[in-house]
Amino acid sequence: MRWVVTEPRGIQEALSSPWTLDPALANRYIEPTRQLDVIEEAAPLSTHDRLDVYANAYFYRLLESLGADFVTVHRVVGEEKFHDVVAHFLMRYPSNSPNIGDLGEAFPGFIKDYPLLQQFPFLHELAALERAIMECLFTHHLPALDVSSFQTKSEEEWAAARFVLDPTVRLMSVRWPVDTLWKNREQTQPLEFPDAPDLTPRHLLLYRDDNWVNVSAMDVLPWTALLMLQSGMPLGAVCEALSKQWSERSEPLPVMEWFSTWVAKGLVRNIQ
Amino acid sequence: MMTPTNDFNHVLPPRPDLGVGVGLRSNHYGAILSQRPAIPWFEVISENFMTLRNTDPESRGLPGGRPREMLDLIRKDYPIMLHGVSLNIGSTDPLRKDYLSKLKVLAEETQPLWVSDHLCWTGVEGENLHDLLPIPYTEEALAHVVERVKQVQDILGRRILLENVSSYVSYKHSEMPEWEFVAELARRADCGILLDVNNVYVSATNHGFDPKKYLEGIPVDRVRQMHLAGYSEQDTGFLIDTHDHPVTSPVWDLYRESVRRFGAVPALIEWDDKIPPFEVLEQEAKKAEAIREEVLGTKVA
Repeated sequence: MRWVVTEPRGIQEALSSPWTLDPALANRYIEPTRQLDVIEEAAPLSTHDRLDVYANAYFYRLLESLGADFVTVHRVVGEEKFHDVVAHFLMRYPSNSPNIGDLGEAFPGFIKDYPLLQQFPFLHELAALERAIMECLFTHHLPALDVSSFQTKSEEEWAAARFVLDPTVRLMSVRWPVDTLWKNREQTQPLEFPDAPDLTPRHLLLYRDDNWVNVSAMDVLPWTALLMLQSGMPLGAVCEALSKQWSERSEPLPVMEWFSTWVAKGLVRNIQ
Repeated sequence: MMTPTNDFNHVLPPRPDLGVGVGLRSNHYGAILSQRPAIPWFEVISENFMTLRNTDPESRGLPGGRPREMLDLIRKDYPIMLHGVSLNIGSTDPLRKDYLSKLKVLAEETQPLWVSDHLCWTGVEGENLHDLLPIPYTEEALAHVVERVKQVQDILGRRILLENVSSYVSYKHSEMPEWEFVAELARRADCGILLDVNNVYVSATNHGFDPKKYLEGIPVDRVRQMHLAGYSEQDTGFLIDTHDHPVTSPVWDLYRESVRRFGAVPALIEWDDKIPPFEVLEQEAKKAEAIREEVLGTKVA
């Protein structure tokens, strides 16, 4: 019954033409149709129509869930194309988690190579951003930073210090201005699609505050510093690595300024 | 056909009657936190407060981010019940230990009055359908589900409630009516019953049985909670459990019968699609309260 209910192109396709399916998916459709004989036939609906209730509910529930998780992608491609891409996605990646929120995990990777979406070359980055936002939303915070824990640190201790960033912090590098597109997702006028990638990568910071997920573009150096700190590098090593990139400028590396901003935003949760 | 029995033991803990609660949905967080409505309790969908796979790869049951923070705020002022949709108790797949670990932590941290799920299968061969599919009502299936409920209760360290689902198919192999299966399951597994009155009515209409006969087959001392919701009706008269309408008149009538039979049991208004303003749910809850008062002659304190 599972393979009938989960055929995203509809129950008729599953019952009448399973051999028309992609051969790569054949192992999902080996159950003989006659096994549907276990279903009781009773008015007012045929067995076919009764099963169709489940098949419809299956597809449209997952379509709705992915549409809610990828609101901007949905808006960019439109209703019809989104329906098609979800149908093909579900054939390749049927849900295997009790949590429906896990379904979209593979979606950004899937649409990267999906032929019908080649006209939107920024789409997989947009999908990756929306997935990261959702993961950020469902990630727990660590307790707030205890300010007294670092006030008495010596210079040597600061150099050896490792920062524990909040688990909600995500650092992304993208070629297309998908953060702008995402921020405009609810505007009433049509979305303006980027027609070319930025000349240099955009560095995005995602984190969750007390209300929602924040997404902002950052300068490359503080973004790189956060990335290095997130990977566990000590502060001294981070400053040394960044100083080489900063050396062309006249002013000193503004680490303290960055640090104050990160603490104020709750990005730093502990200093070890 | 199995002979119904009233030989129930009483290990299932009793619970106070909380009156008529409402299903907690994210659309209403703001209204609830700002207005603190006079709703006696909320039921939450367990899975909505669990972390995603990527954010908790070892299934440690970490608090589930922003949704969980909202739940923690709301449960400071209201009792809650956890209601799951993915236990998959009727499947032939093994029980998912990762899921149960998260559910156990969630239950320990949020202290619900009850943890419940559905008497159905929701997936097989590792795939999850995110729907509630009926099982055949056979002795073999009964033994299978009883064993699994016992395992779940052992893992969670608490008794659970199982809810009857709305169904659109039934199986030729079934050996007993659904109510006998539910009653026997509760007795053998020593679990409670979440009686969904709307589901009884929907299934009765779709399969042509008498809903009152269903109620008569359910043991009074196993019912710990009831659900009420709205359905959609197709042109053929077939009913779909859509949870996107007010409770219908025949379901209110059946609820009246249910209160007569099962007494003061907490009831819940469910609304999951086309969700209206919170005030509409409050009004539905008041209607249910009025029926309880009419039948029982008392008001919940």
